[in-house]
Amino acid sequence: MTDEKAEQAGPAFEPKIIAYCCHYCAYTAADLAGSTRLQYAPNIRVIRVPCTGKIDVLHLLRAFEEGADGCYVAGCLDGDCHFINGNLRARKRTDYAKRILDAAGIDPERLEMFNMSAAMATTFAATADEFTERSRKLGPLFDGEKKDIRPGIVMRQPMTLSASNPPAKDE
Amino acid sequence: MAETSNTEGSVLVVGGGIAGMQAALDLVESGFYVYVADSAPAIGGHMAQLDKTFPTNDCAMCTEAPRLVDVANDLNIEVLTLTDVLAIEGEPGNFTVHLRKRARYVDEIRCTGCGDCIAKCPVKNLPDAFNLGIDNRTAIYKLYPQGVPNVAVIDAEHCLKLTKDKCGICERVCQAKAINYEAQDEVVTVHVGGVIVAGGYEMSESGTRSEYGHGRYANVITGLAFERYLSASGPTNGHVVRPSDQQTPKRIAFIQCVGSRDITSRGNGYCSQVCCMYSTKHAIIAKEHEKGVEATIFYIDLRAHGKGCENYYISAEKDYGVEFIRSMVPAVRENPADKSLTLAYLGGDGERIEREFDLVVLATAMEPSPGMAELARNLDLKLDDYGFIRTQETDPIATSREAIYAVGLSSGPKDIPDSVMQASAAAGRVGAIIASARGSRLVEKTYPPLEVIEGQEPRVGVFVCHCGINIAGVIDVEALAEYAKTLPGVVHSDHIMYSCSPDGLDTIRSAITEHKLNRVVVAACTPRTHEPLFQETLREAGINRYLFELANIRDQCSWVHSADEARATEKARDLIRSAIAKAALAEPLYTVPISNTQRCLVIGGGAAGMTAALTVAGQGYGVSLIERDAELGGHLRSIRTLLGGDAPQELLADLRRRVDEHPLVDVHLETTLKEISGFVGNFKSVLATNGSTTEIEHGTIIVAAGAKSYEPTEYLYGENARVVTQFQLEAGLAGGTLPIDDGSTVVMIQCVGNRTDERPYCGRVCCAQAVKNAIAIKEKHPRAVVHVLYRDLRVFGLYEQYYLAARKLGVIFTRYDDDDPPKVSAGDKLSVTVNDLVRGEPMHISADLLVLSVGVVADEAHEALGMQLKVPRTSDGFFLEAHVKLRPVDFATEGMFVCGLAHFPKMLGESIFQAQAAAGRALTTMSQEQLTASAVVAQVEPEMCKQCLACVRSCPYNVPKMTHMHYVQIEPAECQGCGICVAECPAKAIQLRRFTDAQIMAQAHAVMNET
Repeated sequence: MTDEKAEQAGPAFEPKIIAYCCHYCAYTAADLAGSTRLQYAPNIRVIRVPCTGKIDVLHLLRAFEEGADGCYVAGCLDGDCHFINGNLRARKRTDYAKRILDAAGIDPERLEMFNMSAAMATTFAATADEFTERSRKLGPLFDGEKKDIRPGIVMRQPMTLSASNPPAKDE
Repeated sequence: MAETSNTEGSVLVVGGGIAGMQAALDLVESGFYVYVADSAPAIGGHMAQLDKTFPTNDCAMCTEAPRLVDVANDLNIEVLTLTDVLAIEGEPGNFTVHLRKRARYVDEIRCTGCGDCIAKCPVKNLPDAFNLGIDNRTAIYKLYPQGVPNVAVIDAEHCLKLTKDKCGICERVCQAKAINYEAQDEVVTVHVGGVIVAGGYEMSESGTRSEYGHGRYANVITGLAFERYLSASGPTNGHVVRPSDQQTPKRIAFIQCVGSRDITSRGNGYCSQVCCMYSTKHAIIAKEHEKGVEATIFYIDLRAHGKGCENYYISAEKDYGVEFIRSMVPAVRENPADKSLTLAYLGGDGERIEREFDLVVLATAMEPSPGMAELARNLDLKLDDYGFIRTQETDPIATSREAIYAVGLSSGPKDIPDSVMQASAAAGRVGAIIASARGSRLVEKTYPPLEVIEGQEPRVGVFVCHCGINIAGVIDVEALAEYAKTLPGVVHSDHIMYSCSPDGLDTIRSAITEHKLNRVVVAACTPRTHEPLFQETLREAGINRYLFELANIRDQCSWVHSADEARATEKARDLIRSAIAKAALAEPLYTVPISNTQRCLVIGGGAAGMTAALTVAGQGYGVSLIERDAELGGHLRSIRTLLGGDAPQELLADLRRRVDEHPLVDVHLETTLKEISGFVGNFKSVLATNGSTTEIEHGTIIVAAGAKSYEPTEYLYGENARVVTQFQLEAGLAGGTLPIDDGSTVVMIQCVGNRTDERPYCGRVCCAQAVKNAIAIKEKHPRAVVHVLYRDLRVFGLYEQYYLAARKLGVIFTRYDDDDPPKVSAGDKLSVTVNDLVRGEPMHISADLLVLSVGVVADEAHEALGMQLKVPRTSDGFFLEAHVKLRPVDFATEGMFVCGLAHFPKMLGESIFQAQAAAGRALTTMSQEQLTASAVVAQVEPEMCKQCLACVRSCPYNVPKMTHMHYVQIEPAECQGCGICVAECPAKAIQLRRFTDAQIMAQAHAVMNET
């Protein structure tokens, strides 16, 4: 099934992937990959978060709704989370989101959680390459047409400053 | 200590290079006013001339530019350019220094740096010294485009108006009326409590070795000139060309030790320390710039003794195919027809080889800066035999005069991190002398009032950075800037050569005002390093710092997809859309003040820990010093002698006495860190001492936890009593317990346990230690035979002189091949066989004693410490600093610092100044009575809170609390900004500011969709 899809897409299929990266480890590793001029697949789009513990199941599902062919979360190594245990929570949520994808008929292989330290630039690059290859094999998710895989849930607009919450200091 | 009411809360820093800037910034943060005097027309020093820095290949300008801007913008730093020291009088804590400020002929306040005068100046043929004469400059000029201050200067020797009273064009074209031909040199007098000399160096340009033909052969250039060719903002825009025909060279030879390690009258007896690595860098970058370039490095010993350097060297050879040839090149010959160059040298087998190259790059010596002798005379400082300021191993930044410190290249060749550390160290030291006057000279920064943007539609300004060719070489930045104009909310878009340089920031500031921008997106490098700089720029332009977003199109795009320009450009468009989408939803945020416990926890009571503790306490703040052993001293206990003659055991006794006696230092022996919680300014730790526990509160942490000596398994160690380590030899020599006499033969083997596959780093100290102990043996027993078997002798910097001394004493140095280590077998004596690469045959030595030079290895116990503190370590197990070059003692986590052997193997003197540096950095935080809490915190929307307590349970820091108002409250000062509670909250009643769900969703939409 997936091979067939990949074939239909032709050899030129370049998946687009959203990578949610934590500031302290994965994002830093990505910068280090840059400093050391490692080359990796240009398919990933990094969205920086302070900690992978900030990543919500909603964000993971939204990535696919917006048209991503794959999505991954990259956080600190187990036990090394800058915020103690955010990466462990992220893993649980990623696993949960995989089950939702499965129920929605989307291959859960399209979603993954990875761990790496700030010094692991080669791991960052290799992860980007390997996940791109995996997504390429899985083929395009929606053949150009987007679907709402999570009907009925609408995100709130951002909060605005209220009078009860005045600026504490002229920054 | 001068603690009279006359104490001046200010410091003079002589030299505005990277070390001088670091010292100035640390001092200002610690509450002191700073004068930076530099003899050049702009600060920045040599680092401004560099293209990239080893071993991370970070762009030098990208890392230096933010410092330049910080120095330029700080109200409490007064930059005095074209300025030299004339005389000093007074005493520590209260000096009067007279400075001569040479005429610039351009008013620094009026000049806008627009460059109109430079464009019209008729004198255009003066060799540009900043570019090593590769191109020309005008008589009115700027030292370099990103220079601070961003002001022109007139070269009085060549200006037609000043020399012949003709011309005067610059005065006519200057709209700002900044030209003043009547300007005179002036004497400026400053009152300071101390002086830091960061006087830099001169890169020897003369062909100290004339046989290489520098100055005669067009295609023989210096390493610094090569650096300018590589630089994107250099004279060839980053293209390496042959001076003779402007063609791309295909074969480049790099010759090491040109004027260094050269005891002839033309050279310098010391090693310049950084050339092996910068030539390796040159070779790597040349190969990156032009495909098919062959790079060959000719060297004596490849000295890769810095952190990360051995791997860099290995990678250059294996991954990049750089050729390393161990041979001293006797001469270079130019081939008149095509100006190519022939090098003749001896190959490994002793045969004569001739090879032709297109370009020859000489790694010339780093010499004392030309003004050093006069400066030392005027400040009454002693110089060493080479003309550097004399310092001591046990007090490495102190000069012969109290309250005057020498940092960076002033006291001998060193790399950027060591220079930066010494600068922070000097800030820590001088602060102790003037602590009583802290804050007395500070001026508060005033900002324009904040624009009220609440309720306004987003007006986004986009600035796409070229970063020289770092971005523009891969991505079409002009097209990208045009593209950004078409995106929703964008009202202005521009592209800038270096967005982080002062002129780049000016462009952003003016655009904010002119186009009434209320959101700014810069597409450039990484927010990790550059976000604070751009945020400050927004605030200076009157808009809140948090209305800013960086699109990382360099580190995470142009650098990593340079092979695929089209797809890199496509990705850059996506990333810019993402940043704009996020910025459009950004709201103004405000910080809050938080308390600061002005106390430091120092982990480790060796030389580094004790020095750090005393430096912190010296400025009047309390320290808890914990040591897991029953006594203080650490590694220093096993060091009996030092090169240069200082007495390490006297130092140890002195440190112990001072630590014991200091009222502000609490020592806890046999103590480890059991638990730690909190954050900068507000740490709570539980210390465990023999089963009992103590709780302490502190605001900063210095990790000085040391390291271990490698326990060898090689060469019969532990099996044969004749096999010892250098430390055992040292103890034996001191105690007379080893059977060495005039009839003895001693063999030393280097690199035992280091530079192996398992530990691919250099032990840094072992070569010097072997030389030291070999000298000690020969001095005591001149007829004893001492062999040192080595791979590369890495007696770097000024230590080189002791290598020469050892050779003069008759120590026999024999090199062995990496793949063919010596063989040792036991008999009546020890039989050592080594393949002598020079003679080409095995050498058999019958040894009475075999000494193994074992390296320093990381302590396994530090893995747990790293986990407790949540700080990273390298793959070798040493603690990893925030930035290898510019934040060498900071951890990425605020309020935590590292020094000594826990960071990397280092000499005693290096541990001492690094400890002082860690203290100096910690003091920048500790000296604040209040800290400022981040504005990036979680906030509860009370009416949406269902009191389910998911946040209370999930917060790793126990910050969310139930209130009597029936909703959860999150205290901003305590919130760490991780956002875990936000993701856990089922009612979506919590938002993390700056990373709201709406912003993340908007980013996900924008990266995937054109509209």
